[in-house]
Amino acid sequence: MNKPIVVMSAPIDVVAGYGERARGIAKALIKLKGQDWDIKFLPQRWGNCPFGALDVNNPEDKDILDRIMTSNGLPEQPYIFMQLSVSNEFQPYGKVNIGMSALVETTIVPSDMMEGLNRMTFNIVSSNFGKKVAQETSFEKKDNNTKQTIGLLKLEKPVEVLFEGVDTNYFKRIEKSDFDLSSINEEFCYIVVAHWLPGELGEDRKQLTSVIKAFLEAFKDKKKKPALILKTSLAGFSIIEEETILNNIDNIRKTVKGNLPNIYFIHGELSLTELNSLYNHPKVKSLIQVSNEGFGRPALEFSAASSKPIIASPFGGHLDFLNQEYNVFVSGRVEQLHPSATNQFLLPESMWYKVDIAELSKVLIEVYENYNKYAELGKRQGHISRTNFNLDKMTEKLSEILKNNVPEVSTPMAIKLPKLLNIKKPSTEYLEEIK
Amino acid sequence: MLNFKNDLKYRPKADRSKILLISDDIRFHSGIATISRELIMGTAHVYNYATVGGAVNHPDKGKKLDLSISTNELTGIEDADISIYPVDGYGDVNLIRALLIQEKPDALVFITDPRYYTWLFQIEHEIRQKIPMIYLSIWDCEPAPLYNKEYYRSCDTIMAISKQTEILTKVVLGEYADEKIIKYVPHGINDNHFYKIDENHEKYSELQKFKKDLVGNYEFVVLYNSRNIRRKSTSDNIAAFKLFLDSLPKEEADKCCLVLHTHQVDENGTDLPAVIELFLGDRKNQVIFSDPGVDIAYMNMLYNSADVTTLISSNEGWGLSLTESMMSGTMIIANVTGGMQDQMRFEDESGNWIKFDESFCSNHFGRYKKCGDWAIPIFPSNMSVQGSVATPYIFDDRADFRDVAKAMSEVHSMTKEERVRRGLLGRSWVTSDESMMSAKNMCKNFYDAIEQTLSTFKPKNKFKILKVKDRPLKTLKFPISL
Repeated sequence: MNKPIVVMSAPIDVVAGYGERARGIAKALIKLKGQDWDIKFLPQRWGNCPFGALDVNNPEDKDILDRIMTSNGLPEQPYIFMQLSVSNEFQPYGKVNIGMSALVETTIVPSDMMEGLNRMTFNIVSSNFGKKVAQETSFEKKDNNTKQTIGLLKLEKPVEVLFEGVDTNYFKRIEKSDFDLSSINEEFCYIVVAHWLPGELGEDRKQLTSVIKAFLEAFKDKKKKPALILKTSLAGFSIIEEETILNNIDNIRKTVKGNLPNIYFIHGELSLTELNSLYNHPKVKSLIQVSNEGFGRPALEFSAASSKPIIASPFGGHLDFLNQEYNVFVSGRVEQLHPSATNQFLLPESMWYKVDIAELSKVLIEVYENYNKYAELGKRQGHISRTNFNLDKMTEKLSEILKNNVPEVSTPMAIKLPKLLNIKKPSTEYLEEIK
Repeated sequence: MLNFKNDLKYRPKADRSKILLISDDIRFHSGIATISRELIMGTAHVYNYATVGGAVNHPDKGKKLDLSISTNELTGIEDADISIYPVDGYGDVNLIRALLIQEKPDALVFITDPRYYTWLFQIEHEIRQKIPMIYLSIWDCEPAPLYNKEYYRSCDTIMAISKQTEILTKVVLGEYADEKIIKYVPHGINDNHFYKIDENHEKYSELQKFKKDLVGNYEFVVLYNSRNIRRKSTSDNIAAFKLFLDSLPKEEADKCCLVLHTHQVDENGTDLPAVIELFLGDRKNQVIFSDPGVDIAYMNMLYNSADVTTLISSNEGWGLSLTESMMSGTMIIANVTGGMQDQMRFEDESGNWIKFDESFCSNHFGRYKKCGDWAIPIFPSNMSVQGSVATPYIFDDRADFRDVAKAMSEVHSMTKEERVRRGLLGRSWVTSDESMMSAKNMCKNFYDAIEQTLSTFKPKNKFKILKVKDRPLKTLKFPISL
């Protein structure tokens, strides 16, 4: 009997957050249904992000690589078509179609993204934040000619939440970090792991510019200063990009007068093992993630890896896994996006969180000066991250979602007709008698 | 086996490194295409090539073309491995990623202005973890373009096509220069394609017919062979020719013509027939157009028909028509700027070919006046700092057309024998090991640079930790080579 074909279209081999998400779901899917379904992966690009994330020497990655489709076309209509992408790209190629996306980081799902969600049988988003925004967004549909309202565009398909499980094979406590931070003299380092995204000072989605500004303001002219490690990039780790980021940092440094604390910039690809080692390094004390996130993987991975404290924004997808009591949340304002940060997905009329720079400075000083107190909280969050938000838990949740939303696969069966009895030829002797 | 053109030792196909070359489609006629073709034909016995063949709206885009058999026929080898992927522009990130997987090249070589390759520099981290990036680089004029620093830093090796490009690259790279292989690889011309046809040459009668068909009874021929675009200053040649004719007695002026081997009208240049009619009036027929896009044999005939070739571009990376003219034994008139300086061989007080350094990157201000007898130099009369957002500054070196007219007069006043003597001196020098401007020498230089790169290449580190410091001022100690 043929297995039902399941095709997942995703940036499966791309070095990016969406690539990590794709690989997490792929592993879960193979674990759950690898025996029953013919699972194939249709690799996609993700902007200009590099390929090559899958390691042929890793058995789980190898299993994914072996299932990658070599031609772009679908040989036949798959029973299930899963698409991990920005939702405006969703297309229902299967009999059952599942859209998967982190969705949005703001208060509005753009109309074309909403239409994409509605094209699928059901959708999976990464956080309750994304689900809530999708459920609460609606648009008036207007006739192009008359400008009269002709209907309402809103979410019409089910949305399920599947958190982005942390791979505890990689992100875990280790006795000794071998990550080389010997070029950093400071014994206390804050770390930020985020893309450098568009936006003027204080207006970028990741709030990276605000973090730098707040850090510099907090520790300028202080006798004893921590350092800030920025693990950031634009897309591809090129030298052009390196210079752009150094210039961006310089522009913020120029806005702060005095003897400034040191900033270190890690530029390039770290493997998950190297990232775990960095997080576990004794000089790395706390992660700052005051960004706007559909989920916010770095905070989950950092806490699972290190059990060290996290300084976070009280807004966005990461609130699903960051415990309110065990992390430090920084106040700010939920405001409309600045034009310098908007694009086709981040609409100017939508809103997001902007951290209060002065407040963040205070928090940074507080955590630096009373680190032991926050280190204790970090341990509790670390335990939660590792036990409740790991890949196994995500796999369980995915199983439940599939069970509740995917119709039973109809399997072809042979028709069994009842066995015919031996039919005797009727006797015609009596006819002879009649004659 | 030795290739018939050069001494590079033959390697069996399976033992050759593969070069992924991005340039103009080598089947076309641009300067870049010509040089790429020479490089490939001269090294097809030592390297295999996958080439990305660029063009504007390429008619063959999306195909893969195998040129191995035709390369075998042209070079005399039996196992060339040459393919072209025709593309619009010079390709994109996805094409290069695909070719890195499919073709598994050992090095990436690319040619021309870095601004065509911003997309390529953006994935240098990906590429250089596997193979080196080698740039056949060109820069037209000082000041050293500090805005190119990140482009140059993105390369493992920079082959500089002119001495000026070489020094400017070093100045721009500053402390990073020591990490790079920077090598002077001047353009080279095939001396089998361009040569002197004198009275004793078997093609002399063919040349006489060619010349008669092209210029009729004109006895003194000035040739211009380049594109009709602004920086080439094509119209200044016409104005100069007008002044030159005015300086001659009528019967002498009647014997002179200017041949323009270029497009008559170009959106990036001007309407040349209108310029000719304005300046020449009833002498407009003394300017003759020769249609571009013809074969090499025609070009050799064209140079041999001329008494002098002019190129007075205000910015010029090399100026290939000068090299071709010299190889054909014809004198040149050239503006002292960019790569054209190399071809005139300016010499110092000791008679040595001048050398550039950090404080002297160009001779355009005329520090040295004496040059090879085959060239009449025009020192720019006006230098203006031009720029754009992408390229904020570059000198624009304008030759005064009145100086060009004087140069035409100077060549005209020479005897035919003197012009031939000087022209042959040019051919002798351009084929010499000092100039390295033959195709044979260019291929040898190219080969040496690639071999050195392959033998020393270390994949780029996956990541680095940088301490953020105050940014250095983007300024130069010697921005002007006075």
